[in-house]
Amino acid sequence: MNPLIAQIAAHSPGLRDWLALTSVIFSIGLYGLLTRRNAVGILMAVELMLNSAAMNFVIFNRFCLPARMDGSVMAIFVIAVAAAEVVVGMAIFVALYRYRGTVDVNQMNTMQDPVISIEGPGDFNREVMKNINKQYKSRHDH
Amino acid sequence: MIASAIYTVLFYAIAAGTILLALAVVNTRKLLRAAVALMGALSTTAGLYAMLDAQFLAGVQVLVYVGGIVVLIVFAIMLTRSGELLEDNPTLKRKLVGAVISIGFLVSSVGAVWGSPFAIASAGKAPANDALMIGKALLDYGPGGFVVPFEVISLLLLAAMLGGIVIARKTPPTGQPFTSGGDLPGEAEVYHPLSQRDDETGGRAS
Amino acid sequence: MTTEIDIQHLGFAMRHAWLVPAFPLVSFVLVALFIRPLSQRFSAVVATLAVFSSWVVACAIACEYYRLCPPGGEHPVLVPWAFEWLRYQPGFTVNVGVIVDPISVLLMLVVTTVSTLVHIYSSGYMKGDPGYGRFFAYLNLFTFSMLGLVAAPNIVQMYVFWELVGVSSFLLIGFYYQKPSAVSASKKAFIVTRFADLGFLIGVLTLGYFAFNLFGATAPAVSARTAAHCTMPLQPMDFLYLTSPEFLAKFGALAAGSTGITLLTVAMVLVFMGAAGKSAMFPLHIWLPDAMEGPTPVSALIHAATMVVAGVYLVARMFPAFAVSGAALLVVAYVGAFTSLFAAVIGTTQDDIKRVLAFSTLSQLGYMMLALGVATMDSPLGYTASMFHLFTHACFKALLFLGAGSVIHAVHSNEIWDMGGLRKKMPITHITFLIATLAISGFWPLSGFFSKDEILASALANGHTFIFGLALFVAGLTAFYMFRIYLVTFWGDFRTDKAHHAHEAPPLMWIPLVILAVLSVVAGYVPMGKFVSIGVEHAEHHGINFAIAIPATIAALLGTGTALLLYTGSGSRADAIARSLGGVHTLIKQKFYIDEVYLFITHRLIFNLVSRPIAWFDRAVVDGSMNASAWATRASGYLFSWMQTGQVQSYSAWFACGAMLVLLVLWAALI
Repeated sequence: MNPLIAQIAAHSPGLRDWLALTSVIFSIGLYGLLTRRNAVGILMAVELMLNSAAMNFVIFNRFCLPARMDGSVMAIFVIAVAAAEVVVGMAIFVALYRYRGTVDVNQMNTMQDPVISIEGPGDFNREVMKNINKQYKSRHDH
Repeated sequence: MIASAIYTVLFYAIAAGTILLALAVVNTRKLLRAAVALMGALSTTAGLYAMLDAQFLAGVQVLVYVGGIVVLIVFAIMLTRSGELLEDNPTLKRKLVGAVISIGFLVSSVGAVWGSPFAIASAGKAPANDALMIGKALLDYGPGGFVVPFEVISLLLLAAMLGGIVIARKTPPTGQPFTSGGDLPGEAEVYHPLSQRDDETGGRAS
Repeated sequence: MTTEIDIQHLGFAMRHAWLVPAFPLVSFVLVALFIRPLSQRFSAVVATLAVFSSWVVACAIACEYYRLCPPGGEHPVLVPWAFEWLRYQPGFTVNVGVIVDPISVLLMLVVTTVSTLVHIYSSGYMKGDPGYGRFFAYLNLFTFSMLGLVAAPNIVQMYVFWELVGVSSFLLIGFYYQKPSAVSASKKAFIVTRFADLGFLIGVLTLGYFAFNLFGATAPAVSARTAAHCTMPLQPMDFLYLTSPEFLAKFGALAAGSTGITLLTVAMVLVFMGAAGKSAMFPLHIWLPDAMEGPTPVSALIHAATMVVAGVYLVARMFPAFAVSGAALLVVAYVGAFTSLFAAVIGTTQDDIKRVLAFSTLSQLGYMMLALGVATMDSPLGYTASMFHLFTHACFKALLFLGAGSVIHAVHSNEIWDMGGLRKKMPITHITFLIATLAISGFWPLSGFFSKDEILASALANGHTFIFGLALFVAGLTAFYMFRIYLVTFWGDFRTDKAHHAHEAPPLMWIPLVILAVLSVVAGYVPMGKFVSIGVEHAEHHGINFAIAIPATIAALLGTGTALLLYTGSGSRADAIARSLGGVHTLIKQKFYIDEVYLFITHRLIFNLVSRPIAWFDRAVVDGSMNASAWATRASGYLFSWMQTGQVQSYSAWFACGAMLVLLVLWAALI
């Protein structure tokens, strides 16, 4: 027997190797999620992450409960959820694009605008409001 | 022994391919290329499923992901004209933050995986006809059955379909989120603002 | 003579005794929610018919009861209808039901009769008032509550309805809620009676605790024969249980600590505190004169004939317990006697016709309490006399109030010095008022004579000579102040234009007056001793006891004579006497400054020493800690607001960091 083949066969992937692989794919997806500016790109990164997560189910099924099919069933569910997610995500992006002319997530920052009303007494509240309004003004001046 | 060696080589080869394709998905500047890379990555994942003795799942992966989801994503790219745009490269700071967080995540998750004691079943062969088993498990309402989640998922898909239709209709006039979308007479004209500004007048394209 | 009664096979009225309170309740709901917005007139009709139906059923119950237990015989307590309400644990259940015995039958009749007449009277008196329908809804609510109270077979149901009559009294006193004085009067009535009810509640809990714990869940505390008169098994809160000799013998033997007072006395004095609050006995009487801010029919119904006698009724209901604890009964007797004197003295100086009547009510309630206090289980004449006086007093005092209402309706003033000479303008009101005045003063052959006579006789028979003398003096005072307002109102010259232009009340108002006047005349001839009794001994008061009737009549004549002397003609004699009394007269006129004492205690002492520190604590510590936590939340929100960039990716970055942290913790745990 060729010792090389034996050595290779000795490195047959175990549970941890498989899990490491999915971790890598997941992290790559995470990187994409954090760096992409286009919303569709982010969606693709999320697909990668979902995919690696689904694979984890199958891996555990294969290594820990080989006689059962629970992991595969869960993976099918994950795929179904991913399909639903893509459908809704695509619909949202199309609507967003129609409305704003872009799907650049950097420009989707309307959540930041302070819409705080002065309610209730308290000097602290008023101080905070003053600061927030100052910030708001300075941001919108240039 | 030979089979095991081939299996090992195959695993590392496909794993390397998947990782490379995944890196391409997140790094190419043209989105359409990224979508093609995604297709590749999902296909190699199908291969990995096959290596995990989940042949049925591999088929599902190809059918649903490669055949369905990637096509949808390509549609999304085209409908939002993202394919034509050459996306700006992310800033160095953004790349750095992303890299640090994702590598940190990788290290910690691999660390956790390496440290965990798993109850690995020593012997055991995957059942030959896994499609039959999965079908039974999905529709079984006894212990170990998944009929309730199955029904819930079908509801979810229905809801997603309806949601997709409702959201992606022609945009209603501002302030009327749920209208017929201009299908009924008397509703305002649909407009396609190209600017991101959403103040009173600037948003309307003439 | 004993009568065997099969509780399962009674007549229709008995089996459906719940109808008595049910009619006003249904009518209250209908009028308040549905009829009132549609038609004011129809509201009055429905409300009156409902109360009238209750009266019919009450009459049927009375007939059936006295057919089963003929007058002169033994009068057992029946509970012909009940259902389980609260089940705390086996052997401790609270039922809701209807009790039928002489005093509840009597009270049901009095309440439904007076209520029906007041409803009829109000439909004339309140005409044109914007709250016409609301008034009738409240009246129905009150009638329901009062009937529920009267019908209560256990002390818990009585307490519930006790509070309900308090609420309806509150609503009716504050009926003219635009008037600040009415609002404060209603609050005063509610708070004072609530304060008294605190004692009542503690008393109820004490009794219930010992009733349950002394006998446990199973031990029978009453004879089988008594229990056979109830549709449901007896429970510790039932009056039959609480007043059974077996329970009282065991409970009466327990001493409260080392004070030498029995626990029974403590519990009964606490219960009497509630009774004193509702019946406006001396230290808690302050709400009743102010309660006259309500419409006059309300004063007639609630604050003269029915609700204020609830306290007397409660003491009568618990009488065996009071009797076993002699000390508590003495408290009842002396509080009653003192109140009757105290209120009568104040009544001689007041100028508001309704206030005089209110103090007269206080005085007469004191009389009833006094009568109960001098009775014993061996010679229960006072018990009968008290119930008798309750009955006759309801007739003539309701009549007096309704007559006063008629006068006020005509003159638009409460001041007796604004009236005068009304006998020519309002003949029917005048005659009926005169009958009531004679009745309350105790002149033969009117009803007041007989009931007062019995009270005096019972006081003397049981050796309470001091109380007898005091009651005799009060009888004279009663005649004096009643004739004072009668003379000033109806005789002399017209003092104001308003009195000059007064005219007789409409028939809807004078018909109830006439009915009540007839009742005031004939009520005295009811042989009450045959109808109402307690224990096996029968309180027979044969004919007129001249040894008592003659001094009583002399006292009444003296009072009347004094009033005639002082208040006919110019009235200068009365002024002269008032001037010569000087400070004493002012003291009495200011009601002995009791209200001021209360104000001093509440405003000066309690507000400053208790309420202020508590308020400070609430503001500074309780609110302060809340404000501090709100401040901390805001401050931290402000500090961390830089994280809220609005960018999806920064959020997901934070999220990923969090997930990473969890993984790190997991990792660290594994190492």
